[in-house]
Amino acid sequence: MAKQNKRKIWYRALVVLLIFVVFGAVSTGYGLINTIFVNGEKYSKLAEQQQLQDIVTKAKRGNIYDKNMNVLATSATVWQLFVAPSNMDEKVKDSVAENISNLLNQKKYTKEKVLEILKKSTNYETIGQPVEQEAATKIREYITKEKLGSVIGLTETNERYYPNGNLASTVLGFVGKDNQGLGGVESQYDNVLTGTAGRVIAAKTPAGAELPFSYEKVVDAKEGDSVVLTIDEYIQSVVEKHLQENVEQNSVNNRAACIVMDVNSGEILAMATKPDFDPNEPFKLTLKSRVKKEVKKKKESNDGKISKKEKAEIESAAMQEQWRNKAVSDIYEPGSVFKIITGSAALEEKTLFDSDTFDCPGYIKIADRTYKCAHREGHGHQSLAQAFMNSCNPAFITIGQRLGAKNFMKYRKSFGLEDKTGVDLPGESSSSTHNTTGLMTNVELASESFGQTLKITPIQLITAISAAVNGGYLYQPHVVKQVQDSDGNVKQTVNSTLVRQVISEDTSKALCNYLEGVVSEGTGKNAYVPGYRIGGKTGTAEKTDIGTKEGEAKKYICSFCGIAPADNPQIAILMLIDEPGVDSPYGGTLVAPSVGKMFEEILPYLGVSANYTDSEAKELAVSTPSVVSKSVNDAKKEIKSKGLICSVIGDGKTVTAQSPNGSSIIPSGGKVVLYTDSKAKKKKVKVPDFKGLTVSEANDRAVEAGLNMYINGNTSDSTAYAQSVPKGKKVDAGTVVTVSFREIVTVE
Amino acid sequence: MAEKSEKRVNKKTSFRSYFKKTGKFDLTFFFLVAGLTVVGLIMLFSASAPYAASNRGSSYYFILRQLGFAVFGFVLMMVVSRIDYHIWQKFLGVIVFVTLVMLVGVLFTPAQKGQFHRWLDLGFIQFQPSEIGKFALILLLSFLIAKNQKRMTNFKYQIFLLFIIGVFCGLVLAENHLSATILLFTIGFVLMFVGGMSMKLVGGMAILGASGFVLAIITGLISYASDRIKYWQDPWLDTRGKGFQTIQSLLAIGSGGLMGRGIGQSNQKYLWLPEPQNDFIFSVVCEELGFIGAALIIIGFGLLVWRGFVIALKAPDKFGMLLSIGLVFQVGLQAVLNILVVTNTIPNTGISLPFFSYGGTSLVMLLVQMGIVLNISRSSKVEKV
Repeated sequence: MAKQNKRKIWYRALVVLLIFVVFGAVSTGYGLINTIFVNGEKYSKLAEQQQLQDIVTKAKRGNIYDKNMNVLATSATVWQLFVAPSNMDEKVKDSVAENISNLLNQKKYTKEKVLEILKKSTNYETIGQPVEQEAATKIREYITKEKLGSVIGLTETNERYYPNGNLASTVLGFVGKDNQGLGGVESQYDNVLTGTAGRVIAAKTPAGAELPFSYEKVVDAKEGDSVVLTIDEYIQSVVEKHLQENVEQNSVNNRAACIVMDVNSGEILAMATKPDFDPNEPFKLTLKSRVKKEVKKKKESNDGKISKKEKAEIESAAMQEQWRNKAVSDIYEPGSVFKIITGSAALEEKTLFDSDTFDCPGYIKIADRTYKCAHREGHGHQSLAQAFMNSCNPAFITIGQRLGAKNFMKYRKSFGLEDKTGVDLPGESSSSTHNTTGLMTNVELASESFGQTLKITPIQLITAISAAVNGGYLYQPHVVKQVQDSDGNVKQTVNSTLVRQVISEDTSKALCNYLEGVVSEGTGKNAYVPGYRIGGKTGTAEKTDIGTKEGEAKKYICSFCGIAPADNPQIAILMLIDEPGVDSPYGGTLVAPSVGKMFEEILPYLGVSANYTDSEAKELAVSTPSVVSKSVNDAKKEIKSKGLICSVIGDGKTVTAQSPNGSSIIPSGGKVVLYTDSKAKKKKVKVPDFKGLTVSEANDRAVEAGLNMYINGNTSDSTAYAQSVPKGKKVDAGTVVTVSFREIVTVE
Repeated sequence: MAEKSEKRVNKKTSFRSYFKKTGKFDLTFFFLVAGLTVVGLIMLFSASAPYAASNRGSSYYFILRQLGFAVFGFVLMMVVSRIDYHIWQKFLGVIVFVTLVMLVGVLFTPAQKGQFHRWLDLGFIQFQPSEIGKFALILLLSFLIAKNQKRMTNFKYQIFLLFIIGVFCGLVLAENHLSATILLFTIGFVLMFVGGMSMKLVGGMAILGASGFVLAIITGLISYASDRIKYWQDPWLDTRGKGFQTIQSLLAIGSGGLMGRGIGQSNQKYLWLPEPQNDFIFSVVCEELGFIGAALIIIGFGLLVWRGFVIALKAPDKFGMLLSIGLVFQVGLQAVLNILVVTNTIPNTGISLPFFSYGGTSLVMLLVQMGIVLNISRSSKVEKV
């Protein structure tokens, strides 16, 4: 009995042990495996997230300087406000919202909007745009006063700032929300400029309590390197001023571009597209008229309706367009400017000689195709120099045919017109030419000989022309000269890269002569600047791919490429305007004057001294002496000695005022009005309309009105097309009005 | 007089006989206890240091106290291991009476830790009467079953025993201490099962237990227990509140991986895991020692239970056998339930891990009980290692 009982107990105890061991092992095993192996990764990630706070400290983005270390783009320290809504006491949210809204003082962030953010149940929300020092200080004071340090804070961040606004915007590009480079140098050199973000990795405790030992690891942010451009702020501003003026004057529809290149190094001294944008506000639409037009067009084709999406698409396209660097991203038919290439190739290959002559009956037949000359009646018998001056199409087609397709293509290639230039800017387009592998037909050759049917980028063309005039050396164009670290130590210098020699120095020299002729006597007269030897070539290309439908107006790209000084070229300027909205759209008329003005302001700056001929000297302007508070007699004497005349108003003995003021530039023989009675009313005169007048007519009219005229531009066979003071405006007698002249060139 | 004096002498000698030197104790069991205690202390130090530094001003706050209790407990264990375990029968009445008084008394103490009346504060000592309740119940049941072995076939007697279990369970349940109730019930059930309870009653008790559990949920404990079940199923329902401790435990265990971060390297103990020195110490163990360390510790507990059963089966009498089974089973079950809680396999019930969790009184109690098992092993027919 006892034994049986004992066995029963044994048996039951073993059952208990077995069940317990199995249950214990299985259940704890399940629990651990489930937590460690099945969900372990998820849990450990969550653990890490809560245990470590990883704060990224943004590196200050490097600056962009012009070649003389003027700041073109810089980063300013600003502060971003952030809050921890989930930890904020509900009761204070209303007053906090009101105060934050007032402190931020940003239109979009009304009290309601801020409150909406504060009502979220998240741990981290930013409010508003970053604020500057002053506002940040006020916010900090508020946080301290209200003891909100645990729920509101400011983080330091950097904001990109472009002190010159629009200047060089398509070259510089801009930055996005996270300071990442978008477009231009900002994008191309993003890695260099960005620097290395720093990190603060710190152990975190839920209550924010101190740890017995520190987990903090700080990796300092490394400021980005700075980039020094080849761009010269002064030259850039001169270029942009005249380009902008031109775009407005000629109602240019499809933007205009201009490049100034140092022909002996490939450095880009200026590069501009107009209209462009302000990189401080890159998302502000600048091509509004285009958007309006597109919207109207869409509406017409759609019963007067346009969906929000369609409108947004149009606006987005316009924005892409305003950022686009036309000088490197758009290809176009260069037209007659290309004759420089054809001519230099033929001279080099000795299929063309200085002594060659050409007969132009106004057209030329190649195979079954007839090419007309821009001058319908024909240029008749002409020398090579005259062919350049006249920009005669049949002559250059002939030159091309003599050169032959094979040679033409060889030079097209070696001038770099088939490949990208490799300029250090994003978005460079590839050119589009006939047949790069086989041989072109004679018709194709004929078209390309005078710059039609091939499409290249402006940067390709100016690079090629620079090579043609600098002795034949093709350089790779570039905009960045140097990379410097944040302390100004040079880290990298970009040297000029010689790609190859394309033509001989002799050929180059000969070519320069012909180009000078174009400006001194030919279609490029309007680019003439007294005292300087300017060479150049005009171009007017009919856009063959648009406007060919019946009833649609033909569209043109007018351009001019100038070089100076012609006897020893230093800089080249290529400017083109796409679809001018005026009559007689010729490069010589619409573009050459602007390039001339650019040269006039740039060459003295570059230290190129002017050599005036006698006739030029006569027209030379004089700086007026300052004679205020001098006796009338002395003043008169002084003014006369400068070759100026004067008229005195009032009976006083001393001069109380003068017009124009001292140091004003007026033409030789101009008039200075002296006032001797401070109470005497200044004599007012009405500014006449100078438009369409010749230089002498305009001068007569100015004298008649009691004004001084300052002559700008080419003066021979020219008429005025612009004046610095609008007609009808009342100004002081003697005021200097700048009148711009140009010759109407109707041939290419 | 003579009779009286003889009785006195008898009593005296018999009392002394409890201290009679008997056989050697079971070294395996001793080393298992010692090993678990040492590992428990090391892990307690590691787990509690940051919390202690932050909340008590010194990293050593918990470990120094626990170490003191451990030394004291060890001395007591060695002493108890030399006292014939039959002596506890002598004090049974007192122990049960005092325990019942405390279990009732604790219900009238001011509520601590929110709504729970679990702790008795006698000024110099703080403890949970339910801990003593477990010991008392094991002692009482072992005694009653062993002494009235023949009556175990008697249905009424079995019901009487069940009633005793019910009284203990009811009192602890009144403290709102569900886990202790479950422990008491399970231990009682196991002892009765081993002690010869009829299979009919086994089924009956199983049903009773289940329905009692259900009753507990749908009666006064509804908000408490059902909430626990809700946040057991998805602690992420309230990450910062009711699910917080469970989540932090899971994150600790999960980031331990196979090998662990290494001893002392837990991140979760840095104030993330609430009170890492208490019920959730095992999550820190897992984070620092990994799956392998955790498994070794579980195996340690398993060996302890196995050895306890071996001792029990070779015990000289039924009282010793049941006592040994009850005591080690209690430790093993508590360890399993604790691990199931920290891994969120079962709802959070507030159950500590023997040898590991901070608590001086309960460690001393535990070691004393282990001393009893050691004493049983002295007189058992186990081959001494």
